[in-house]
Amino acid sequence: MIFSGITFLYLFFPIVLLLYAVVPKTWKNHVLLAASLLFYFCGEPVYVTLLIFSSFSDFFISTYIERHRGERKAKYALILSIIINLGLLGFFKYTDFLIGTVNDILGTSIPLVKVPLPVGISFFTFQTMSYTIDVYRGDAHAEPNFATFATFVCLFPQLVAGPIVRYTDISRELHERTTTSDDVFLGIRRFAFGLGKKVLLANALGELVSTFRAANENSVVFYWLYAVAYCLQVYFDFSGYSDMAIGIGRIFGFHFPENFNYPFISKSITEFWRRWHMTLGAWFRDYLYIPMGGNRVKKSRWFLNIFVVWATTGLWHGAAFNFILWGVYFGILLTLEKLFLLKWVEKLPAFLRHIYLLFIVMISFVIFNAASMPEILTDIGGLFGLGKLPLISSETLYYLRSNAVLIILGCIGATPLMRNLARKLEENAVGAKVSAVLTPVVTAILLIVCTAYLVDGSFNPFLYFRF
Amino acid sequence: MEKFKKYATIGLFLLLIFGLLILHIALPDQGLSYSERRKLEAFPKATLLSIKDGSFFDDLESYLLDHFPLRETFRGIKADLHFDLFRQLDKSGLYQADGHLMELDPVLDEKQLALAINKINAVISAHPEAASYYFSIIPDKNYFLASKNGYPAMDYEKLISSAKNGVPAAYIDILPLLSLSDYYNTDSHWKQENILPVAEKLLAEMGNLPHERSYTTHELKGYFGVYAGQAAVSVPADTLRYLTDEVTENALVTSLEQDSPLSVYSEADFKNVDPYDVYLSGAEALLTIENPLAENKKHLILFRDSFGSSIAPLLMGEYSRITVVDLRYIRSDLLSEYLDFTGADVLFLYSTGILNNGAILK
Repeated sequence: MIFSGITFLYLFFPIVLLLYAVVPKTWKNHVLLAASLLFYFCGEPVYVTLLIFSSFSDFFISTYIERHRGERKAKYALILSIIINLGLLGFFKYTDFLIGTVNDILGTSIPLVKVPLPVGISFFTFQTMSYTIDVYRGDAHAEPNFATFATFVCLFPQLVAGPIVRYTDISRELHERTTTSDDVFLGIRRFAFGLGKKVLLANALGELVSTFRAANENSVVFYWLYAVAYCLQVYFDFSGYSDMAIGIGRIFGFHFPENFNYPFISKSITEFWRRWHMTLGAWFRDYLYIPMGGNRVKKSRWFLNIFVVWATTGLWHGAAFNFILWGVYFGILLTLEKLFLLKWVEKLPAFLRHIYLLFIVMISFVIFNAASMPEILTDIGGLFGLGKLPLISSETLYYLRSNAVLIILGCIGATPLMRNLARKLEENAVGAKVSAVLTPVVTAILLIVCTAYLVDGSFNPFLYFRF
Repeated sequence: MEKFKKYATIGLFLLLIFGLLILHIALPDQGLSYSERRKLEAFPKATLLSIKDGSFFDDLESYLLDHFPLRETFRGIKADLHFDLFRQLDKSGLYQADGHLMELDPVLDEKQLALAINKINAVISAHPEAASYYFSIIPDKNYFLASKNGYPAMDYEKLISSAKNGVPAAYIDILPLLSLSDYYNTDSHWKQENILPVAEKLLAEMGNLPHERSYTTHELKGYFGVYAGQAAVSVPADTLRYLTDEVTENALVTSLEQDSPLSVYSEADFKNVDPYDVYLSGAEALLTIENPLAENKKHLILFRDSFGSSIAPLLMGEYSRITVVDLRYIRSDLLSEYLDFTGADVLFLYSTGILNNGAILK
């Protein structure tokens, strides 16, 4: 089940809201847990057992760690938890990648296991792992109530595509929360805007990307149009999902961490990664980079740390070499920025710094979306006219004209312009009155329009589900 | 005002999600979507297997989408926004230009074209007993509409010359006799009342002497063609017209697939999912039209697609029998079982859309 599906919007969500509203406070977590398991069951009827197993395993291991805090047993328990979590992730996500690589290198023909990837496994294993590590470090107390802990692990708003919510982010709210009318209002508004990003922008951009892939006549301009469209698609798809998740969480009284902060307005790669998929970046920083010594080590070790963290970040996104290359690409650029590049870049005028950032990011997403290593070369070559491509073709012109408004709206939507205008409007009394009328109207219109797009459309994938 | 903003937002949101849920439950399910010309999903059966493999939940989403309250209104909202706000030039390949709705078909698929040519050639070589073979191509609306309005279009010249050169039959060029106004605004098909010159040319090229027929025109108003429903845009309806004379009124139509005889025109079929079924009852594998008023014993075998349904009645005056074959629904190697080619004129009359999807011919 996905947030931008009719089943969720007009069946699951209203029923869960109603049940949540009518049950006594002590039952609210139980309602959320049952709803979350049903939510996951609808998408992964078999793998829901995996989710339950993961919850059980980390619940008992963390309780054990807390009981034996300071003892060697706690360390062994932590190692066991990490092995279980990484083992699950490794088996379901990376086994075939590993076998395929071995087969390619050694010329063997070990059969692939072809196990389907459980939706959201990369997210929930990271969440449970961070919880156990936090308990081991003493940053969190082991949750004594299994239902409460399972509610944290399975909580449907953030279960399958993030943000990566840590136990420490919401532990207080898991035990005691009050949902105010402000929370509901802000949650609904956030959800509606996230839905709009996903349905109106990401899906339409996705269709342009698919059109490019199926096109007969490519041209240099079409490759650039594709690169821009795909960057925007990924952004609106993922940030839209995060907005919906944060919004739904807020309606139920949870305050999830932010995941995106207008990354395309960045002026350096360093800044970009402070604004893009923030909860993943923070996770790798806190649970991998810093434990490896961070930058407080010899330079050679520091380079190794960066390489490992970014190769792992790439690998987290998918079991393929293009994802590793994507991660390493950013790792190298971030290292260069830390060493000298950032100082050079900072001397450039702001618009050139933007162009620098956008160029690097666009190339990165061309790598990210390639189906194979040769396709990376073809796609990047296409951007620069290799392979005797024409600069532009009539087909490209058509798709450029047909998608011009969409791309412009996407570019505007990727900046804080509209948010700032809305805030400016509310600064004076008349503007506040206009805003008071516009906000409910725009929210309702967004829901109606998104519903119209869903009812009539068939193109509705979520990119980050595959992670 | 802050309170108003807050409670109005919450109220409207809840009203929409709960209101549409209640409407969904309250309104009866429809079996068919006439606008989209398809069956709507029924509520899925929950079995252990369908739940385990997840297909139940996928089917449930399809069911909810198909039976969503005010579905046509929502589809219209999307179409309006798509074309008017986002200014996109086509919606899933459908576009509007010069008052017409049409579907993009910009790529000449040479493999598919070769399949179509091979299929036609197979029929020709399997039946040397026929008197003469003729071949003609009907351009789709894109031929007149796409390039002129900045939409990508296939290389029609290449398609026509390849087909013409690839089929060993006398080619009858009907392109100069057609223009955009000969097609319905909301549909892909041509208008029967506009193709009399095409029929005359085909007959003349097949060696028939000019023969005046005096037709009466019948109108069926409120015709929304295939693209009106698919695009979900507000467009004026077309009027479907059909031409009758004593030949059509006395003709005997039989189908390989139907027990009882059919008629040349069936107004009742105007209410079908595809109202173009008015002509020769729409999709039929093999029809025989007997003309008892014919002054000769000539036999025409017309290999056709849906365009052929409306032109066949206009060819009837010169033949005592027309056999109308649709290779989309009958295998060409089975034809000998049902059809005698001896001494017959054979006309392959296909639209560019079918030639560009040759695999569809069996």
